[in-house]
Amino acid sequence: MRIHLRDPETLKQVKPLQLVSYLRGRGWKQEIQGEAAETWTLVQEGETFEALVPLDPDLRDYANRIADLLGTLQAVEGRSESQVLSDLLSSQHDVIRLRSVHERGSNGAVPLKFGSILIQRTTDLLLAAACAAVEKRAVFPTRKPTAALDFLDRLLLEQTERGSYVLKILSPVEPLLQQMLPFEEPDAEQPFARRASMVLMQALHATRTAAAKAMGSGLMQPFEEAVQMGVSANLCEAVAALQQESGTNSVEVRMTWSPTRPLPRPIPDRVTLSPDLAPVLQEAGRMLREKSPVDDFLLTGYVVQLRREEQQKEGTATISGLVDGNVRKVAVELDPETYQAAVDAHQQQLPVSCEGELMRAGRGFQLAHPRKFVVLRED
Amino acid sequence: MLGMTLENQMEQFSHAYVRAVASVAGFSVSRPEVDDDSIDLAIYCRGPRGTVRSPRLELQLKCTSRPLLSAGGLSFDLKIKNYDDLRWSDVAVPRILVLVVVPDQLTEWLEQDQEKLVLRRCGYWMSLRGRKPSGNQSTVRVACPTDQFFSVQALHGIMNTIGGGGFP
Repeated sequence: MRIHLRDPETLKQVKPLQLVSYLRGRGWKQEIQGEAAETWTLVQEGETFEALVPLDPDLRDYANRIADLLGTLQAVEGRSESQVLSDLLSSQHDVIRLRSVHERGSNGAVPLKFGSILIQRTTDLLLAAACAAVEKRAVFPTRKPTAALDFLDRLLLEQTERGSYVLKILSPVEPLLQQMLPFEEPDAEQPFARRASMVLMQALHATRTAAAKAMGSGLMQPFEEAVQMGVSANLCEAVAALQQESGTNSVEVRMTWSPTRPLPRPIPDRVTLSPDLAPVLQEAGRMLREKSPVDDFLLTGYVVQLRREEQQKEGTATISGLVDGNVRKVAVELDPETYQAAVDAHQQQLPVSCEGELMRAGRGFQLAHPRKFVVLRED
Repeated sequence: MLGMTLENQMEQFSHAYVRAVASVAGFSVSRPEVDDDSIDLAIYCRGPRGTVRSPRLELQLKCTSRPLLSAGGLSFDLKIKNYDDLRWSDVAVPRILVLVVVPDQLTEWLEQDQEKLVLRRCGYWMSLRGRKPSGNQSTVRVACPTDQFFSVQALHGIMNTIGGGGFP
C-alpha cells in the first residue's frame, strides 16, 4: 500500500539543495533549467523517470511539488515516502546507525538504564574515532583535540528507529558542489566530519579483524598494527563497554555516506561486532595503554636509585612513585645539573616531582623527555 | 440523494467533465496530494510506473448554471483567496481556471442512449496568471472568454505551450 505524505509543513522542510544533492547522488541528471524549477531525469531499466525540482521554497506550489517528487521517488526506489523523506532531510549528513540487540529489550524498547549507557558509550566511540582522524595514536589522553570535540558538538541524535534498537546519529558534512567523479578527492581534502566517519568505519573493521587474529594466536600484536587504521585503546574500551555494560548481545554499526559528497576510496559501510569480542577488546585496550607513552605525566616520589657511568656527567635516577594507582619504579635520564639535584634530594630524603612521557621499558617504566624537575621541600 | 447538495453535484460533474476531456486527450488526471483548496485537479503526462512527467497543468474548477454574459465573456464571482492563488506567477506548474456551465435543470445535465453520452453544456478555461491584486474583501468578478472552450483540442494546445516552456 502506498501512503502519501500530505502535511505541507512537513513537506516544506525539504530544501532545494537537499533535493538536488539527493538526486545527483542517485544518478539523476539535470535536463532542463527553468526559471522556477529544474527538470531532472533518471534512466532505469530503459525507462526514463522525470522529477520537477522547485528551486525556491517560497514558490506557491512548493509543498505540492515535493509531494509529487516523493511519489516519484517512492515508485523509482520501491520504498516508502517516509523513508525517502527521512533520507532527503539527512542528505547532507553521514548517517551513523548503531543497532543493538538486547536480551531484556522488548517491542523496540530497551531498559532505560541501558539506553543512557548506550548513548554514553556510543559518544565515547565516536570521540575515539574523531581523535584518530586528527592523529593516529594507541591511546588518547583525557584532553582531546579541539577538532575532535567540535565534531562531537555538531553530531545530532535523531529519533531512534525500530529494528532491535537503533540509535541514529547525523553528522553534517559539507556538500561537494561541483560534480566530481567518485574516488577523485584525496583523504586530506575531505572535511573533518567525513574523515572522522571514514576512520570510524575503517577502525571498527580493523578492530574486528585484529580481534579475530588475536583470538586465533593469543597475541595482542594485531591491535598494535591496527593503530594505523585508527584503532586505539579508547575505541576498544568504548566498544567493550558498549557490549558489557548496556546488556547488548551484538552491535552493528552502519554508515550511510552523505550522497552529496562521494567517498574518496572504498570503506566498509557496515561492521558487526559479536559479544564474544568484548573481553578481547578490553584486554587490547589495557595492552595498548600499557605500551604507549602517556604525555605530560607528572611523576611524584622518592629517588631510590642513582646511577652514573664513569667519566659521564649525566646519569639516571630511579624514582619510586604512583603509576595507575600502583607504586612503580620509573627510570629518568637527567642532565648533569638535574642529576645533581636528584643526588641532593636523595641525600636529604626529600620527595621530587618531574614531568615527561611515561612509557614501558622492559619490565619497568621510563619517563622520557623529563622536564620541570623539582625537589619538594617542606615549607 | 441523501447528503448530496446541488453544490456537491456541480463539483463532481465538473470533475467528470475535465476527466472525460483529459482521457480523450491522453493525459492523466489526479487530485493533488497536499490539501489545497485552490487546486482541484492536476493534468500531466503519465511516466513509467505511474509517475508524473511534464508537461503538467493544475486546475481550479468552478461550476455554474447561471453565468452572466458580459462584454468580456462569461462573468462570475471568484473568492478572493482563489483569485490570489491563481494570479501568482511564482509557481513551478502553471495553473488555469475552468468554468463548467450546466443547465438550470439537473435532469438536463446528462443525456444518454445507446449511441451517445452527452454532458451539458460547456467548459471554458482562462488563465489569471499575472493579474493585479484586487482591493475587494471577499470576491472578485472575472470574465471567462466564450471562445476558450475546454476541449480535447484546446487541452492539447495548452499542454504544447507548457511543454515549450510557455504559459497558457
